Amino acid sequence: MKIKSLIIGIICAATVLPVFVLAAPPQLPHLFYGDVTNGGVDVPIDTVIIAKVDGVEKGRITASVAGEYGGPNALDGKLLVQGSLSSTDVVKFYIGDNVADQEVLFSTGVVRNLDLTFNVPASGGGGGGGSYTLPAEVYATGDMNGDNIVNKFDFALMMSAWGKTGTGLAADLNSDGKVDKYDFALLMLNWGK
Amino acid sequence: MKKYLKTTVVLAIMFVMADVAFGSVYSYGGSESITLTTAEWTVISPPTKLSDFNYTSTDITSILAYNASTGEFVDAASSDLLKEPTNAFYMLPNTNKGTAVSFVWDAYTPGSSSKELSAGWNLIGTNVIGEVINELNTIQPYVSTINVPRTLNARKSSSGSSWGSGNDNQDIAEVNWISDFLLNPRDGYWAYMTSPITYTKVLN
Repeated sequence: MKIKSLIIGIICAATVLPVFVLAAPPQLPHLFYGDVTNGGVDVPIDTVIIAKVDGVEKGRITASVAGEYGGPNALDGKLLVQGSLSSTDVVKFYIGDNVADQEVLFSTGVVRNLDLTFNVPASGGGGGGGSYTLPAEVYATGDMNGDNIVNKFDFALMMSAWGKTGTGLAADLNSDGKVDKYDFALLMLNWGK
Repeated sequence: MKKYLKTTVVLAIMFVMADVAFGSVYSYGGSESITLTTAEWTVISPPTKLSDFNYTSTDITSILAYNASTGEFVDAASSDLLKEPTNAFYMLPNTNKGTAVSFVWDAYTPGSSSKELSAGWNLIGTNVIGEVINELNTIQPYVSTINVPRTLNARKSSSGSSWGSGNDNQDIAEVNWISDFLLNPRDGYWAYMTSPITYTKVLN
């Protein structure tokens, strides 16, 4: 009889009371913004900066202004580094396979102004001191967002820059100062690589 | 004719009075503001369906919503997520001088606000004050845990208009699901769902 009452009690409790979940809600990201340069020169618009922990991507942002990623105000956006991370995890920043000079320990909920510097050799024989150009491998493949594959996302980046003129345009694959059909042809040649 | 006119006027007055007496304040257009007194993260949920959620972008460092389907926070500074009472979001002022944010709503006919919840953690809000077991009755079988983010929300002034200035834990508790715990409009909550479901609140 007692056992029966106990079982009924447990069933009633399980029905009325929700199961207590021990897992905590998601922790806030570590947020970053700041300047980003390569060899002292601003990186171009559309450059993708990827944050990784132990080689695994934990966030990314695309530079909407040359030499900057995100900004201090709400509408500027931030690089959100998030996931199951702890305060001992080291966050590193990449453009393609190239790592920035800076690295930081993960800290949930913290917003940090962190200027990133890269020292990737310029392509095209320009040497140091000239205008910044994307790493050679990016130019070779059309992998503008640095995710190691030429695909629809690179196509989207090219379309967003279509018709733009100037120097340092990520989508200007042939470096003729304009994003046009010739860049599109290069993108198609390397599609899927 | 005169009598007919008088009757019409009386009926109209009665109708307006009844609506004022029994309808929600949100049945009419209006606005209200809260002041975030310190540069700390807080969780906000619109008290009703908004036409505008106003803030000065240079006073705010970040606004983050949580995408439960991907399990990631997303930048929500210019998102319509800020206008739905079933949603909630984190907000971070950049100053301790007091940052005002305001909710603006239009007069509207009764309707509803919905949010698709995913299995796992979701950030939600409500449009009326009420016991958690009542406010979430439509999704209660799928809610495993309610968690109250311990942010500025926990330190409201007695009027509720100043966040971060009151005593700690004044009108909000860091508790999991209990039947007499009150959900408040403007506050956001973490809900752990055991399966996906649509969360709908009737607006009145």
